Amino acid sequence: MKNIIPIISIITAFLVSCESNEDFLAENPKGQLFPDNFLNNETELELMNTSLYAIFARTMNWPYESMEIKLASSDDILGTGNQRPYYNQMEVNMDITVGADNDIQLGWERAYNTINQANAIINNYHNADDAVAEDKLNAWAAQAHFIRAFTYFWLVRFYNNIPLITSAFVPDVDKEVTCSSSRDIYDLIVSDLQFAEEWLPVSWTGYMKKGGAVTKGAAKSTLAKVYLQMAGFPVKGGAEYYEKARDKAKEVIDNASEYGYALRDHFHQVWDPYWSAYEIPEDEVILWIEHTVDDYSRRAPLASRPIEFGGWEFMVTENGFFNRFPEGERKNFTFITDFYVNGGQHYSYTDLTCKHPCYRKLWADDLSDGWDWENRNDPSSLWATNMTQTANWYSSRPDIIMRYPDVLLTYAEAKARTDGPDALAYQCLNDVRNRAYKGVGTTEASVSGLNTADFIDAVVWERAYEFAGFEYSARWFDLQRLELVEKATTDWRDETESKYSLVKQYTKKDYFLPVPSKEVTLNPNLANNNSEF
Amino acid sequence: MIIVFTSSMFATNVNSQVARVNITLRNASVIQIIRAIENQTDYLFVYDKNEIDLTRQVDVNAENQSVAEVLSAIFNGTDVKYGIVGSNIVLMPNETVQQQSFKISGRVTDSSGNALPGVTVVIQGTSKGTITNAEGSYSLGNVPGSATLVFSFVGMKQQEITVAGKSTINVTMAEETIGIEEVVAVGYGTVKKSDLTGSVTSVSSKSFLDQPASSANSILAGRAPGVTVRRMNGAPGRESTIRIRGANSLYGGNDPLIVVDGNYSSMPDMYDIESIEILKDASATAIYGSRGANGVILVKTKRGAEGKPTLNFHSDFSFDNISQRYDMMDAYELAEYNNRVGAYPFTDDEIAYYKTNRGTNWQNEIFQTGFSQTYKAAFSGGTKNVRFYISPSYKKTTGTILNTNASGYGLTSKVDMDLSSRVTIQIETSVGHNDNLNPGMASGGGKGTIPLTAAIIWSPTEPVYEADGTYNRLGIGTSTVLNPVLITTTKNTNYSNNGSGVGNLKVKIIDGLEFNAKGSVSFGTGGSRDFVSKNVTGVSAAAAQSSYESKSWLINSFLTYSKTIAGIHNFSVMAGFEETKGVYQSLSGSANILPLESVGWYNLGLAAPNISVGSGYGNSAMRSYFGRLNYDYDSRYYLTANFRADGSSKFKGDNQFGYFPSFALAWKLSEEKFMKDQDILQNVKVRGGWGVTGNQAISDYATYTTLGDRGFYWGEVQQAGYYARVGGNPNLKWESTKQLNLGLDLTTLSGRLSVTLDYYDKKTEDLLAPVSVAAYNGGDSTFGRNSVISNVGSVQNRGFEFNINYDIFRNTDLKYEINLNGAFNRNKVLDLGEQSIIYGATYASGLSSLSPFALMAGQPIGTIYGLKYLGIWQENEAAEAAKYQQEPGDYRYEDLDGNFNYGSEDSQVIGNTNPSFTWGLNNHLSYKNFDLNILFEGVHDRDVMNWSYMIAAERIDFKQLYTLREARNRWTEANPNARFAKIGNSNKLTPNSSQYIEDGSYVKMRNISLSYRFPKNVISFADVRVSVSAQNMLTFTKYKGYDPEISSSVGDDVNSGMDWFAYPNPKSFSFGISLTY
Repeated sequence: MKNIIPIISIITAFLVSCESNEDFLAENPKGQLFPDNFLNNETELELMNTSLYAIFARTMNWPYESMEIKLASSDDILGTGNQRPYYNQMEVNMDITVGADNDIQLGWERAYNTINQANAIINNYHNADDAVAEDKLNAWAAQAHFIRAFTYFWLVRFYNNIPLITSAFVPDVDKEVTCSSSRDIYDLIVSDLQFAEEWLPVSWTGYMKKGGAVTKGAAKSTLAKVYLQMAGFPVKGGAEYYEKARDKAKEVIDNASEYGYALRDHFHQVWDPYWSAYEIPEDEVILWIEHTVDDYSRRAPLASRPIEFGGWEFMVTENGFFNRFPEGERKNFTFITDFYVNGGQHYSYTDLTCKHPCYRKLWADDLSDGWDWENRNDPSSLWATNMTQTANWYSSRPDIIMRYPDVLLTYAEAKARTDGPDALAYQCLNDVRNRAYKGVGTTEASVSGLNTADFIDAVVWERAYEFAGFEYSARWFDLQRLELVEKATTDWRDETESKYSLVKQYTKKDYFLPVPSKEVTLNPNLANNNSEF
Repeated sequence: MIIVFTSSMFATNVNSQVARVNITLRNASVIQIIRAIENQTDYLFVYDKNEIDLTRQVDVNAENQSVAEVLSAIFNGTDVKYGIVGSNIVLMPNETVQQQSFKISGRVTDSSGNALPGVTVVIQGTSKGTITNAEGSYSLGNVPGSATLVFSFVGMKQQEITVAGKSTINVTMAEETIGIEEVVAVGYGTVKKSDLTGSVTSVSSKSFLDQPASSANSILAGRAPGVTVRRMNGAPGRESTIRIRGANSLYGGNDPLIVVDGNYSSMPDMYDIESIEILKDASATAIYGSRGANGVILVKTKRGAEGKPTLNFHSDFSFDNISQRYDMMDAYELAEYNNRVGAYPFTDDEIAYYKTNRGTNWQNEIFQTGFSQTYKAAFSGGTKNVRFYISPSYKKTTGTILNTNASGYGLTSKVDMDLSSRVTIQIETSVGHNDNLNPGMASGGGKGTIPLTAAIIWSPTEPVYEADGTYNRLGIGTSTVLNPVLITTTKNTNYSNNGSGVGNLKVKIIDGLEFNAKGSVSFGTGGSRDFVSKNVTGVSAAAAQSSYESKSWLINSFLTYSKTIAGIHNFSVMAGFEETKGVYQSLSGSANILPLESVGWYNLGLAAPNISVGSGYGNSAMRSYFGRLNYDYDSRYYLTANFRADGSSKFKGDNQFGYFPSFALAWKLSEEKFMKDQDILQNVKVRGGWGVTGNQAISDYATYTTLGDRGFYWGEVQQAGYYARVGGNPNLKWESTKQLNLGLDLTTLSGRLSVTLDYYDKKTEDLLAPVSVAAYNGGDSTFGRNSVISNVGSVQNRGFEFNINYDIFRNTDLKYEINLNGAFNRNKVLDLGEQSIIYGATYASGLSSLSPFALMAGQPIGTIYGLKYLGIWQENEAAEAAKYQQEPGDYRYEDLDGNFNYGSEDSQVIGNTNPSFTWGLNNHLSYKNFDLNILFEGVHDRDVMNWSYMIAAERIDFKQLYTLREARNRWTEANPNARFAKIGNSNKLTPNSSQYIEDGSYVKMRNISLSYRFPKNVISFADVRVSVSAQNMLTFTKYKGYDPEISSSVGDDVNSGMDWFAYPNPKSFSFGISLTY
């Protein structure tokens, strides 16, 4: 029995030692950051803001995994279907089977993720009230307001009626969310942009300046564009909104030198793949997203390269649009019609399977060796001849989302639609036309003395040419607000192949996308989001 | 005659003749004293209970007396003779050794030729007999010439030999593996197999010894009913997935708990395994509480035994091949066909060129003959009080796809020490290292990273290399998918180092009271080293390293008290405590733009400033209390009750602790008096049990909402950034599984046929599931999270299992036994709470935004949900097809709501990936020194979504060419019965449909092996055994892909029926050799 005592002692000691630690079952998430109590100081605001841009950048740079491709064939773009079979026409014109709307789902997801991120900042930045001075704090918040507004503006033009979400990552367990009317979405966009224009600085310092942080000028320019869109279909705000668009655009034009906006001398200079912000004091880029080798843009050559040269051919030119396009420097740069192989062998686009000119805008790629950008105007440069060079589906060129000509043409149109064109309106239109023809400072392409209707028509077409191709679906949104889709997809089309004929006639409902099928399966309330049409 | 062996312990240490006992009992029965001696020593009593009077009352007053002294006090003057032979004490009636006149003698040995002392030799039908001495010899007098001698020994198969006038009979005893007297491990203790109340299946090492397996888990395939083992991914280093009685959990994983010698672990090397017990029902697994819901596999490994040091050496080699291939067009066929149908503009010159140059066979380019080799040595031996087992091993497998391999080496040592007759200490240590090259090429996911996908979609007209010798990077019609061979040049090297130390203490405190304690520490380091060349990225080379360090410790202790009252009430009570804690830290660095490829991951700093670093931390802890009561009345009626309480750091507040009780009853009918007179059934036992087990399911910090990090390049340099995302759920609680089990064990034909039947009904409640968050609430599958873990509902598994063992021949030279086991399981989601449907994983960006897998109340986990395929629209259906904007020749699906559109509202249940019936058939035939093992396994009635075949046959987003030979069988007016739709874009191919669901049933010959043991007179210095074998030699299936067994989601039961170019399983031919010095 004498052995037992030490043994019992050991056991007891064992049990007691295990028991003694009270916090034993506490979790200790070292190094983790929690949203519940964040944004208390400038560093935390900076961290969240940086990530917001990272997510926003993704939303805007995938033209073929986003909503954009679905609306490819407004009247400036179509896909040949030679490489990617579904992309031969407007998919909005086809009924999409369940789950097959993968691309618009991705675009929708990224946009709403951006909105939720922005909400996380907007709903919590007052945590830092005591730590950060009001104007500085509001400048942080204004970026979130701007990005939320811009992303909603992007979404509402594609889908029209959509969920209006102002919470951040709060699951809608009871499925109470429904599609809000586009009018309500626009109201939020306007109030966000008003906050942004009040508090954003004219320019930033340090890395944010170089990297494309949004500015006061960008907010005002975007607001002008929002008003212009609201004036037309489907909100139909009419004269009131044309006036607002006119006044806001004028505000930007009047302060152009303060904001640093002016046209570059030649159209092609805007597409320099080595373009860098603030290289020249007054530049025409208003809103852009930096990209690098690591965080590259998908707006790159393969999408608009003939199949014979490894391309995908799903963003090429509609033939009628190409034929209407006014001659000049801009046409020469916007399209590529002649292809050279092995240092000399020539193909015209009509010799190739593609049979459509490609968009050279997407070719401004800085990652493929041997593109020879510097000598692009020399007909024998590698830029024009080196079609055997492997092209990429990515580029580290910045994504330029908004350019100053957009503001100029917004003013010209809004002014004409309210009280007729004035001298400034003519100057705006002519500056764009002349630069397109032979460069800034020339006057050969000027127009004058048009009646108001003809002036407006000239401005609308000028927008189409200036922003043709994948400049953020500018042409499509114009057709939409002016209710020209039916005309653009029939009268203006010049396509002989039967595969380009419409599956069915366009209706107003086809102006917009249905909410993606995956989203509808998660919340059936979102079905048939445009039932009023 | 029934020989009864008692004792609950087969210890490897044998007490000396002078073992001392302390027994002071008045009016005690003989059996009580026998039990007392057994409890205090390692002696085992052997006797015929019909001949020895066990109830006789005696007084014993033995203070520190030898066993011999106690025995003499009990039996002197009675008609009982006793003898101590080895660790056996044999009791026999005195008269049996008196009548010796006609003498038979001989020697009894085991299968390796060693003498077997203590074997009982009895003349059949009488009570006359004797036992063998220390040299294994016996002699028995007065034996009739027509008599039959019965040789029996614990742990060995009984043998009957006709005398037939012989005067010398030598016998070799074979080990008994399925005998009813085995002792089996249950959690925190052992129990005689005949006393089990739960559903437990034993697997002996003998059955898989000649089955070289590239995965430790795979040795269990086909061995036990209700245990399905699927090798879902054939890549080197990938483990097979084990499921016991179906899947309970959606999120928490359904892998069973593996306990090796009492330590939570993974399956050890098969050569180290002594025996395996698989605990299936809750009454058996509840002692493991929150770890027990998926069943428990208890593994006992080999340990050192007293004796001269021996060296055991095993080696085997396997050649692996993928013999099944998709039948692809060659360059000429492809160019001609695709040009003709307008899919791709090949020129006439090109087509003419391919007529003589048939191009690249991409499958041949990426497949190779795999080779694996294993070397394992084990040194063991020891003295009576100190025994050791030390085993180094090395293994390397080269995969069947280029640039995939896995290798590892390690050392295990176990030292057991008896400090006294009461105190035993075991010290175990192990260290190991593993490497795995390119494990990610094996699984589903990105279309651009799987060489097999690329091999099916790439055109044979494309060369592997350009004229200048560099890789041809992008092909035609394949979007962003790179050259299959180029994909394999990526290096993703995972490595791990691990070490552990275990100390076990066992103390016999007083008679019947035992204390066990365990302390273990383990650490692991590892990580990955990655390199991708500029050739692959097209931009710049990149390299990265990441490493982790994990440390954990565990302690437990438990007391066991056993007591027999009045000879018939047997109690055993156990109570214990356990605690474990783990900490994890990680560090990573990457060079995103590596200027010099040659430095690889060895000099990441070279890439500054384009480098990034990261680090992480995690911790978890668990505290448990557990106990068990075993009671039996006269070895006829049994009761077992278990209880465990587990507290986990992963849950918060009141949800922290989970409570897991269980109860079981058993009735051994064969011990009843009314069964004594029959000789048809040797053992009959009815069992029933109920219990609750749990699943920890969630990962660390799942209750927290945390920020994710995502930086942004503001210009050249990335700035750190943090983003909010869909969050954690603070209200998470334990998922629990209630299980009812009813079982029947039967033994008949003199113990040669045994049958076990079990029925179970499991219900898992508070099911943890990832509930999808709509994108408008921030659910983002690409850059964030798109689900929240919640306790949502319940799942049921019901099934029936049978296990039949039959010794067809058991002659000395020829032995043949078969085991047939099978299981039927029905899985059903009973309820999903607020959710009407929960979708599974999505595959293959560009194919479908919706998962083909879904959970719905009333349907099983693994339901395939989508459109029902109705064939191809024919000419006479043109008008109807037009309503769908389709034409004759297009695919037709069922339009449930009749709105002339194939939308989500038309989705229905179109498949079930769970087999309804699985079975295994093991054959073991031995003739003299030859052993033949054949194992068949069958899996029936399950569906597989074969998107690989769809990609091969169709034209889709990222594959613009028709590449499969069969794909040319397309609809035209002249070919209305075609397999595939006409060429064109109106066909509305819908991936989420029944169109490409296939019958994934299969029967595989898992293993066939033949081994030969050289006799001593051929090779005298060692025991040498050689074997040849083949794995997956035959597969019977209708499945069109590489292998119906594979899945692109390994270990994930919601999504397990997807073939999205997962790594196929090879056929293997193996050679093995085993030496024992």
